[in-house]
Amino acid sequence: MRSFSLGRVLQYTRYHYTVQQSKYMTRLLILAGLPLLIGVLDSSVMGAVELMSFLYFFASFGFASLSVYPMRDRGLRVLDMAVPVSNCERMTFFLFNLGVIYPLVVHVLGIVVALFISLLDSDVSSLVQTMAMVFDNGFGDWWLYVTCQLFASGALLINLLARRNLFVAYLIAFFSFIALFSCVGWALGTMSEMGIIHDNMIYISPQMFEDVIEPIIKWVYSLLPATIYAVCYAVLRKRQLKW
Amino acid sequence: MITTNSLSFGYSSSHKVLTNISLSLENGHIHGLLGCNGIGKTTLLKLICGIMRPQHGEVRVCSVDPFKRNAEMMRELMIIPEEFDLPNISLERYADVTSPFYPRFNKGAMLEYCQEFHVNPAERLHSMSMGQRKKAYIAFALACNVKILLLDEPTNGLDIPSKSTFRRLLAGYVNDDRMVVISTHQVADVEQLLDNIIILDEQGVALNATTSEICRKLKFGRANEGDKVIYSERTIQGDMAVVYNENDDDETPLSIELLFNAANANRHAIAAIFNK
Repeated sequence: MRSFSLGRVLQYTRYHYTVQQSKYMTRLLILAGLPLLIGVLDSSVMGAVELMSFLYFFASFGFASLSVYPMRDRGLRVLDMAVPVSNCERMTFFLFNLGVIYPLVVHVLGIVVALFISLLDSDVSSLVQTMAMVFDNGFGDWWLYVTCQLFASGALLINLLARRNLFVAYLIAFFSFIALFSCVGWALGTMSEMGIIHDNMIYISPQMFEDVIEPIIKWVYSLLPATIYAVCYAVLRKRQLKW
Repeated sequence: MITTNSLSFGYSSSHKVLTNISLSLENGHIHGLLGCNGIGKTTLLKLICGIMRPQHGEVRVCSVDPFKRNAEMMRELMIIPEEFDLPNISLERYADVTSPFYPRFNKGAMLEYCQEFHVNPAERLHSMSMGQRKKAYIAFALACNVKILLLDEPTNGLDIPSKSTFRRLLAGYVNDDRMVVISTHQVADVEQLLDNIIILDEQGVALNATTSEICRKLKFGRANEGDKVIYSERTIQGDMAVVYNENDDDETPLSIELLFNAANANRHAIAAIFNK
């Protein structure tokens, strides 16, 4: 018996998008409509795309929630869980949905929005500048992509862990995040008061930072979403529908 | 074939629903799963589907642990929950995206079942009533031709003509390679269909016997003088009872309601007869 089939993953993707069609459409309309509105009112392609890259973060939560929604919803969950796909195939779908489809859709929407506003304003130079931003800097930024993946995988994990109230789970996650950073800030402040200046504790030359530290940070940062996805898979195997 | 061995499950330490359930359900039968409210019938169906994990004991579907969610095992199994939601698309569209998971799906049969249930497969599912939606999903589920079909209160919400259509379709569905498990309180709706009865109670399985075995060992109706009464109750038609059938040739039609009440009121007597 084969436990993994790419064909089944694609079938499940098709099933998922058909079943959730209206919900995805609503979110995509917000994602495209809001920057479009702001862009048209402000006559600024750049403004619209900047707003869109801001929405990119928030949409990663929405897409992660929608990916898991049929498994959580009271009316849909039994039928969704009875669909013959293994946990591994379900997890591959989450990765595919959040890692490929979602960034692709956001990029295409960004280009369409920019194009539409440029056409309205006959502002070709601004369009060229925006396209460059979309592909090279803003949207195409590696850090932005990984950060969004981190957000999406984190949101997926929260969805899989939260038993009932998803909103409360998001609030807890948000305040835990704030608390963690406050603790780090407090620790650094205390060290500073005690005369231990963290900047002087270890000296790192700019060259060393570029050659050694930065690649390590990049690798660790890149691997974080993958680690969270692995935890999500373990949670999925363990928990299933026991929400 | 479905087997459970010393299966127990609880939603919390204070809310146990299934205790020490050992069952063996064979193909070629329509099994009726009966029990009081909250005894764990729906939970048992979910455990069979692999949607939940047993706390103790094991479940095997075609010798495979369903919780491992092997896709090739799962495509031979389908559940129709008591309450469910369907997306706001037509049944035809729903079947288009769901049927590729089920290799023996027959679209022609689905359209035929829809016709028999007077359901329009091109209509959006959200514009249908609850009963129509249930009929639409039953038509889809039957057309998938899976080996194991699990039904949780299937007749709830169906009108009277649809109930007889449902019985007719289900009777034609079962063959030597397939089985149907029906969990229900509406025993009158499926009484003529069931050929194996399973009654669950707080202590586990109170009864698991075929209807022919039940009718061979028990009689249902008015008790005569000298009959050994296991259970009796007063009804409008007079005192109705479940008595020992001491003469194998003298069989009466099965009354599942009386049998269920007898198993609840006099578990030991029923267990002593069928666990010999």
